[in-house]
Amino acid sequence: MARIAFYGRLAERFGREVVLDLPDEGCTVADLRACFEALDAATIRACVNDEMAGEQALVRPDDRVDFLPPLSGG
Amino acid sequence: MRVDARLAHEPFAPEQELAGFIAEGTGAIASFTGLARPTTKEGMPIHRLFLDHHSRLTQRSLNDIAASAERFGVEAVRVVHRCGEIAPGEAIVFVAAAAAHRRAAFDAVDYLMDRLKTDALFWKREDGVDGSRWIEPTEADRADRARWSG
Repeated sequence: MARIAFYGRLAERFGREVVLDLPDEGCTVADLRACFEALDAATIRACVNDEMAGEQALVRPDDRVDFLPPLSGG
Repeated sequence: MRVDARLAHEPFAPEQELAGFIAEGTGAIASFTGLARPTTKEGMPIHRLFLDHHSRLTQRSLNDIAASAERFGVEAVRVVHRCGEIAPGEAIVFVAAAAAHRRAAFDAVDYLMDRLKTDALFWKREDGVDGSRWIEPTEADRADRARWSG
């Protein structure tokens, strides 16, 4: 089961975490985005297992993916 | 360079942070404290701020940003950043830098705040009388951040 986590306004929309049953061969970050609305690749960055990941990065069934909206600290 | 970067889950006292930092430092020390504002940009009252964070990557981002102040040749930096629910008037962020001379300390603090605004892993929501809204970096924030490129 892959754990997909959301933050900020995305967490309000989708909840903090969603668990997805991925195929054994996994899928790409782009494939995951397509499962949710409003995960625009231009503004929402993705991390796979705590590392920034590109659209073609592979997500395996036991991975953790974080979708990060624009930041606002300070 | 000594680096102290801390994610604070509870209210902290910036005056104590500064006093502790001064006790460890030499030469010139500059600091900045950011407090939660009581109103929105439009002047509407705010009940509270909420700063969402990532359980691991937020602390990592604070560590990386604080360490990057080494470019100014400072001797020590301290960064304390709140997360969670923050009442108006409470401190959100404290930044301090110690250096042999004042210019490096001023520049390091200025730089660290610009980096924190755009690169630290936080998501800020204002809860006010007219509802809640998520805050995102403005063009001015990005322009401030860009001053330190190159």
